[in-house]
Amino acid sequence: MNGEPLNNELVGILPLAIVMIPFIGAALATPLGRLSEKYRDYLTLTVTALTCILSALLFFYSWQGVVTAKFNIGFGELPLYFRVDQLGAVFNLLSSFIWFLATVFSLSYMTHEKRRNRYYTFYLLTLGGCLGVFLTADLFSLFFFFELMSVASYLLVVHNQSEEAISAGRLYIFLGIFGGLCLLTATILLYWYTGSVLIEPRLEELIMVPARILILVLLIIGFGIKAGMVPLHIWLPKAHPVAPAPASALLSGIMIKTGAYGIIRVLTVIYTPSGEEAKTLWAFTEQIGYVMIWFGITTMFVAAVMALFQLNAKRILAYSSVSQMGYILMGVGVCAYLGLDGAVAFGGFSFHIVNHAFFKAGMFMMVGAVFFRTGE
Amino acid sequence: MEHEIVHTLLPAIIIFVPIISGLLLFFLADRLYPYKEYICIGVTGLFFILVLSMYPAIKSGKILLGIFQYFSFPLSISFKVDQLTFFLGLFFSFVWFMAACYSPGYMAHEHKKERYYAFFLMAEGGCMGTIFAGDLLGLFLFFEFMALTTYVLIAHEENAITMFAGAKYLFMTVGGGLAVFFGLLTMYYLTGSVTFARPGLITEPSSLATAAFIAFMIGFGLKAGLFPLHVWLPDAHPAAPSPVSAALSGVMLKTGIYGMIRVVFNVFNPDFISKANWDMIMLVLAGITILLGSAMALLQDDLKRRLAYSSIAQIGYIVLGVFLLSQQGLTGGLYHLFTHAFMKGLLFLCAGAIIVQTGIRNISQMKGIGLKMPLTMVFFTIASVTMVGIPPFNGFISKWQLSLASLDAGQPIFVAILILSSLLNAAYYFPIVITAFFPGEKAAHHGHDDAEGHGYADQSEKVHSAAMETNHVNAHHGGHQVYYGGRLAQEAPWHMVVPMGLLAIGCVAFALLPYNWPWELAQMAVRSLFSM
Repeated sequence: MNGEPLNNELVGILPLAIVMIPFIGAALATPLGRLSEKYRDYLTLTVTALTCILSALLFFYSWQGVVTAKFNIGFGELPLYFRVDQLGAVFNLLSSFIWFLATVFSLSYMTHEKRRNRYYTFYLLTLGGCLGVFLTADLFSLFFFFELMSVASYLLVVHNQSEEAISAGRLYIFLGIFGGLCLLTATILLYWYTGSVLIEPRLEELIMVPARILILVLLIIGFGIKAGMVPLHIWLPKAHPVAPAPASALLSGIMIKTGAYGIIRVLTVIYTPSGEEAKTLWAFTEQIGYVMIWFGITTMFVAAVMALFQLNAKRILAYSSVSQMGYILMGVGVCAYLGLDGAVAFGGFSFHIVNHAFFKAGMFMMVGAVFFRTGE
Repeated sequence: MEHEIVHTLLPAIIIFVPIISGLLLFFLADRLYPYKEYICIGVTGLFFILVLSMYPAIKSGKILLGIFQYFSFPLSISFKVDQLTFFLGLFFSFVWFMAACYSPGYMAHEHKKERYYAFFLMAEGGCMGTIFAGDLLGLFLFFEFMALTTYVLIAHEENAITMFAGAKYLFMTVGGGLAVFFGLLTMYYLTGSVTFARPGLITEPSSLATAAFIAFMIGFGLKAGLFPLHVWLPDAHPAAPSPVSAALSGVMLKTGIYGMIRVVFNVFNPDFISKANWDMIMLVLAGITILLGSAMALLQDDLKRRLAYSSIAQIGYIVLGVFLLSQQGLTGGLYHLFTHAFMKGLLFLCAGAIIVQTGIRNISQMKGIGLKMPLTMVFFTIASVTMVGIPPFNGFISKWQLSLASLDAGQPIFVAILILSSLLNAAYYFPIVITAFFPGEKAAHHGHDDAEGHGYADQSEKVHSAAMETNHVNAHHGGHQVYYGGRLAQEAPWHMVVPMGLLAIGCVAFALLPYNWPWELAQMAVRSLFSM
């Protein structure tokens, strides 16, 4: 990864714009929707298209250098820190593009559903939060957008307000808040022990920290819940089927990737040494990688076996998502395990993330289209 | 930091404005009856503006002091506004002002309104007097005055439940006041002075000093709602009318904490307290308070009772911040003090709006109410999310600071307690919000069936019971008209929604702006306390 920062003031506004445009769109969606459904649909389409274009622009810039931007908001000493390197830019572009496609799908799918204003409002809020996760430089800003995304996506999960949806939503938000609090605890501990929550190679500092395993475990639990890692995946087969089809596509295709993104950052960045000479420290990263490989394998198999027993198409797809996340997590583990040679694994899981996003979103939309036409 | 002392009567005048207005309103009730709401709102607004006017002076580091000498009484009563008391006074007067604006809507169907407004004003004077008092004697006098006036407010409804709650409160708070008085006497005996002018008046450990500390903690802890003296709170807050509950939870509890801060920093000093290990005892009590309050809140069905237990837990946070005896801890505690005043004030006002519009007090009967009272429930949601501590709302900042301060003090257990309590907060606030907005199919039909028999019948509301009889005839469920407890549910009137909205904005806005004004004020207050 090219670590040179991009010295261009204007480009620094891009991450903030990518996050703020969906938020503004979300604020406008309900009032506009009360006025006219058509204009609200146009608004959503425009917002997601614009976000996609800006993400493409950011992607282009990220190949020239890392885009950073810092904004001081009232959190005392913690700024909102954006740092987009190529990994973040890829995720960002992927997410915004698929979100755009899902929006096109939503416009006609949602004509069969009720409470569209609410749907679109929280749809756009979730978009902002999700993209924000990929664009951030430190764990605090990541936590900020992560929580926002979790809470906003709750509204998408419980959208049709059936008994099943509400109960799935209850588990979803409970685990979401729990995961968020695990992340918060880890962030607090990390901040207190090392004075900084930046996402950068810091194993030299962390190896001295007595609570390093605790922080690691908390981070993995927090992100693992969102990623659908076994045994923290229990919310997924309930939540993904009950959401409306385009929301399920996004939940499975993109939002679980935020969990994977977190785990990637933890294993391949935070817990890796920054110096060239620190060969012995890589042994620690190897051990973590080894554990993650096993979690990945377990996830792969358990979920795949569970998928065989399902009769509901969307639930099969949900378990399949968990299983595919197992592939990805195993890839992350391998990347950490191989240390400096882990680039192959990195390429492997990144490519799988992109592929999975496309085909899982596509499958959910396909199932949704069948449901739209036949009611099955 | 040198604090220039400006001798002015402004703090004294400020305190007496609401007190005298309240007295006038009470004694001239017949003549002033048509104007009572305007007087109340006007005076509380004026009070807020007067407090705000002191900002430039406070910002530049001055302290405003006014001393009164009485006859041959050896002690003088003084009124002092410094960075700490300004911080508290400003936000408390704002919350009180909002509660006053909200009152006319809430009290529309009540009796004895003139008494309510008169004592509302006097209670504000009492609470603010406690905060703006420059010495312990003044603090004690206003403490007792506040206790008596708030008793009248708590017992406003004059039914069995309310009178019981009021009596419990009165006896306990008078007992607490006597404890403070004992501390006051001991302090005067040991040091010859009761002012807050200098830090650390009592510096030699002795059994009398220990007794004084215990007495102070009993007195102020009882007022704050610290375990094990919190038992008056879960009865008093639900019994009072909602704007009073908002003021009690938002402001009056904090005067107890203010007392504790003064005891820690001005009567004794932080080193003395940590050497005597009293801070450990208080930290343990704070931890128990946090967990107890959060756990008990889960079990309550009455919304206001749940909010009362939640207040107890939040007070535990603030006491934790105070007794960590560090700058960061105190900043976190003070910021949480401000945040909680706004959040809890807002929550109680929302609860009151629901009670006024529908007559429902129990959470189990509130299914689907978000659809009928969307603004109220949105504000409730904002306040709940702030309570849990999710960014970008204010609550996150205080939790962050308190956690870091606990780690600094070598007490990581409190981080676990804070996180656990956040989880419990989510567990008892989110279901309310969820069932309000997502009732599920069955509940909408049962919404008016089980409301008629339960819960509210034994509260006085005569209007509600009359309306409930018509419910049998008018059971009507359709898109727009759902009856809850016999009343047609619709959004609260604008003069109740606006104060709630302003408090909600206060919960959200400060954390998002680059210049977090309350945060700066809190830091200024802490710096002045530690540099004395």
